[in-house]
Amino acid sequence: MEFSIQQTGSTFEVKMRGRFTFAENQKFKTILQQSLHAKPSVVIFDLTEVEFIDSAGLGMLLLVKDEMDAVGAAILLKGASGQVKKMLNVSCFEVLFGMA
Amino acid sequence: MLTISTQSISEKLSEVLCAATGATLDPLPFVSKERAIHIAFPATKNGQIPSITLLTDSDLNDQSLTQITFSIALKSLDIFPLLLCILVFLRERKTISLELEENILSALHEALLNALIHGNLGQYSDYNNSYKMFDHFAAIGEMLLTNDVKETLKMSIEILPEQIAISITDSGKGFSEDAIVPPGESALHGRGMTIIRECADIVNISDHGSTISMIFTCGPQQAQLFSKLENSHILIVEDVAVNRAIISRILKQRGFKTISIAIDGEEAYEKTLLLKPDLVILDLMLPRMDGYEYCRRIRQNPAFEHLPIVVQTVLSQPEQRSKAFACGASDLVTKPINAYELIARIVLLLEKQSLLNDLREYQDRIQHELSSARSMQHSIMPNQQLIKDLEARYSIKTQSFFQPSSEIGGDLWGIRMISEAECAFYIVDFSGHGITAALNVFRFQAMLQGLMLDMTDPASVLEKLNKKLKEILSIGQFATMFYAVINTLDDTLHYAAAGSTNPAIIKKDKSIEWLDGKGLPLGAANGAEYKNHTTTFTEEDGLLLYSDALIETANTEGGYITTENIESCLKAASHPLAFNKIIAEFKKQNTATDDLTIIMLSR
Repeated sequence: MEFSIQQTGSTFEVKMRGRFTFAENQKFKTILQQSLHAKPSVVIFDLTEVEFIDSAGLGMLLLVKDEMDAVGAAILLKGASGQVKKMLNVSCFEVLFGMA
Repeated sequence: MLTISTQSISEKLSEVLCAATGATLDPLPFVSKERAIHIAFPATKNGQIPSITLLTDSDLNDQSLTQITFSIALKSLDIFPLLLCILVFLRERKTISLELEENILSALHEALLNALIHGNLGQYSDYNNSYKMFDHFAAIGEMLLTNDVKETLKMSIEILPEQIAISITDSGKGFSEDAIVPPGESALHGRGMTIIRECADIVNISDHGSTISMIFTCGPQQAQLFSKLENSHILIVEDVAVNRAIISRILKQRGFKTISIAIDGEEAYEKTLLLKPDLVILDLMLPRMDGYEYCRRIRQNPAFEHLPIVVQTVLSQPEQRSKAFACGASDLVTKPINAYELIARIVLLLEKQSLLNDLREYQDRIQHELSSARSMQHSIMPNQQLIKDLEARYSIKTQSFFQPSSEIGGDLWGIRMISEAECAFYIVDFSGHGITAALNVFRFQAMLQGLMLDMTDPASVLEKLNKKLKEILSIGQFATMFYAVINTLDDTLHYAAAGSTNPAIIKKDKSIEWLDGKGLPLGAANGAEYKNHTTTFTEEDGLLLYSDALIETANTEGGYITTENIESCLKAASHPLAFNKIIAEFKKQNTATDDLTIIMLSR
């Protein structure tokens, strides 16, 4: 997985590419730390170019949500399609996350 | 979309398994037993490997191989390459939809993750039950990267006619049902089982969670396509018994159920006529009638013009190949027969045939729909009843001729009865022809009904229609129109035109008055203005309206119907006969490439 972060004011947009799975645990922790460090008010995860996500990937998104909830920041998901969209639906993530 | 390289499966398997296990064995130990392959991997570096037979590409590519089981000690967190490798194996043997591929990948990924986490955790007493902590994922990850991993997964994949069954067993202690999180709950673990249950059609968990069995059903459509091919009737023409048996076995292993045999050319010819096979596998050197002659004869029969014929040839005789094709062979396979190649070619030919049949069905359906559309289009033009009413009310006789260039067209004409003395006639021609133009005709008709128009004022009618059409038509689409109001009381014709052809008035004394069709076409420009014209139209006068196809279709000598031609037709006879003469004149032309409408109104 690759990712890039774009900051506009206090909005963070994390654009992710490739497969978002168990194997990405360490890499994702880096994203999390970078995002939290800047104290954003909104974090948007752009999943347009994510081709595959597993339960660990979903779990990692929840991990960010917990951290964001704790500091009162909002987290939004956008651009999911195909397998990724299906996984979000299966786990009812629309209940837990805002969809941008 | 996931892409997979075209590497051979065994190569890919070796590469993936080496990466996953850290094995450096060369060649890799593949063990073959009957129809299943057992790929055994040493769980530790010094593990003993039993006596092994190396599997070749052709074994792995053997389509009859529909079940593999293997043990593997995963050493990497990235299990995706292994998944892709399994997908290649499935794809090679079965048509699977993209959605099913996604479901298999998602469920398999979760099941492998589950085996990795619980299986490995089970090996270490410290980590018992610690799956409840998401952070321990990382610890497991690090652990997996060391060489101490002892866990071995057992995996089995079986392809059944309408199902794919996959089972994974790890050597851990499993998990309990209460660890599973329902969808929509914000817990950091326990989501995998939900995904597996959602993606697989049947899930069975045993040994306290250390074995997960999943069954995926192939959609009815895939099963249909697959069984459609398998139900194909194949005729094998071969005089050597051993060769017949070999080909027959290859076909049966692939699932083909209906196989017929002919041992010489004559028999093959008779059986082809009688049994109408879907495909023929033909040897060339045959007693009584050889393969070339069989091909020639069968191709002469129109019913077998497209019958796929696969000819077996010997490589050492290249001249056989061109001769076989010249006689009508569809494809060639070389002897000795390679099972994989034979099946691949047969499946390709049958699929092509099946697609061609679908295409023919599609064409028939479109043809049918177009004729329905055509009768709908006829129904929006004035019918005989309206024409009779018009004659009774205004003493105006109407003759009409309508011929679309394809099934349906972009021409329209109509009548409006306005008052005791006034009635209106219009003729419309949309740019283009065929479906697009016809759809515009229907839109126009609906619009005409809906708009509040002063039907006695031709110019204002055109202006309002132009405004509305400009809004709805795409750039490049427009319509020409001629609109006239006949007043039988004061014997006038009041009209306006939007780029139409020039209509003709035939006077009682057979003199012709050409009316002016100039004007901006409707829907071309905003705010176009139109001009009202008035002329006399008395008893026994006739009015000829026509679309531009009449004067724009060339005859065989490249000539066109000119205004002079039309005039001479009109002058030569009474209005009704003149109308028929003009149609006869038009029918001398080549097939019209545009829609044609001709209307004659006689007072």
